[in-house]
Amino acid sequence: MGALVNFDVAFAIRIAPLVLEGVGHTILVALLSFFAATIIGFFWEMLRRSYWLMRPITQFIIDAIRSTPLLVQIYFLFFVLPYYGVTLPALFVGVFGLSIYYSGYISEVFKAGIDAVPVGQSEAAQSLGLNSRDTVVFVIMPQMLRNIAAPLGSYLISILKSTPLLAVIAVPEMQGSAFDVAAETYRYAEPMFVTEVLFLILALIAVALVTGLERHLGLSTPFH
Amino acid sequence: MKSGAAERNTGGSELQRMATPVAVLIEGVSKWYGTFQVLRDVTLDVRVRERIVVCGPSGSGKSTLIRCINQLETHQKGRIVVNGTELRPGMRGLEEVRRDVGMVFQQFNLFPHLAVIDNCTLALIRARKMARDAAEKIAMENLERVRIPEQARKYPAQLSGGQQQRVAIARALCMKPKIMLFDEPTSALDPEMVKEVLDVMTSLANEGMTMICVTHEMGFAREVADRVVFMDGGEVIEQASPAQFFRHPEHARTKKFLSQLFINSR
Repeated sequence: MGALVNFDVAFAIRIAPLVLEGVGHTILVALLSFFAATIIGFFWEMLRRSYWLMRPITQFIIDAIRSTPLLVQIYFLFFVLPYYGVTLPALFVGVFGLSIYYSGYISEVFKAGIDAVPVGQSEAAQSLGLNSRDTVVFVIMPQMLRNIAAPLGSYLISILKSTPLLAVIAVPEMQGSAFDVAAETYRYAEPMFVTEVLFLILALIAVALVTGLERHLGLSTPFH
Repeated sequence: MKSGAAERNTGGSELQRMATPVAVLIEGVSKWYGTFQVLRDVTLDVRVRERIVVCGPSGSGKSTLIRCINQLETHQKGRIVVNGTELRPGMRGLEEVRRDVGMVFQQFNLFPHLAVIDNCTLALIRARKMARDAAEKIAMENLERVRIPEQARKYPAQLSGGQQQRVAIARALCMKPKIMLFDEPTSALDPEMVKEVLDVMTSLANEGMTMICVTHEMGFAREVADRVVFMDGGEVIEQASPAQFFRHPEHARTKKFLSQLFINSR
């Protein structure tokens, strides 16, 4: 409580630009991880549906990814792999770790999104003589997109909020910058508070962008 | 409509029927879901230009049977030959066979994200590799055929059930199928919309389309069908001309089914 009593607004404002230096990396990591996680998640789902034997195997991988803490996965990639001769740059580990972790969750979004398209849709496509690729691309996918837009957007926000974990492997994102300020000035209240506020602003912007995009693409309304 | 009724093959012209090429041959077909047998040794041949109505209580296997004809369901025993091609599970060229077999579903199954005209052109463009202009021309012709050309730019959800089902018929007709399958096409419709769909099906029949219809519309069966096939418990119990079928049903199960139908329609 002492820190809050001593909260120095002028100091907080003065250090805000220092914390803000990390914002570029925060956004970069969040966006890269989101796109990679979406692509990998889609890949998992396609694999899961490809061949009956792939179903339990893929499900096991997805469950394993989701059942271990992200922080432990990041530690593992960054501190354990070098013992086996695999040394990866921190930024790469960060994006890779977040992508793999969230791909497990996003694959479930794709699963639900595809399952929600009535089976009669693919039957109609097949009865017209469309091959399976065209059925997926022109009939299933456009309808799936509508189902996944909202949950996918919320995973973007989740990923954004997970980026501070990368401070532990010294990715220079906002939380890391805040720790640097704290270590130099021995004051925690202001840099942590500034980080909170900046994340709140980023998250609100992201929500606005996602909602705006959904509306622009007509994804948030039922079919016509 | 009456002209079509006059044209059709009646019981007396069995010889003439046998001389007509076979469109669909179903021979000793059986199918199981796990241990439950849905089709029991079904044999049925449908000649070109013939109109067959399949009826029977729910769970009798009639939908499963016509879904085997375009292999939305696979059969485990027996032979199915469609337009001269024998259907086998996992066969190559199944898409080509399906392009010649149109299907209309109980729930319409229109593509909700596509406008009516794009519902009709999708398979022409993707499966028949047709240019968009040519495909749209064919689509408009068929939408006129089902008397709904003015709705071409609307989306399925903006149409009534009867209109949607007519679009579904037009969509199937665009592929110029040799055979049309109807799987309870009027069962999901409000009563006042049944007639517009049956009218379209009747004029299709009068144009000489080979048709297999699973339906409970006995008026349609009486007026349009060359043959009524009655199924129960996965078996074909009886098949006869409508006159024979309705007036002198042979089997006890057929009589029971018909008596229940007439009680229901009263």
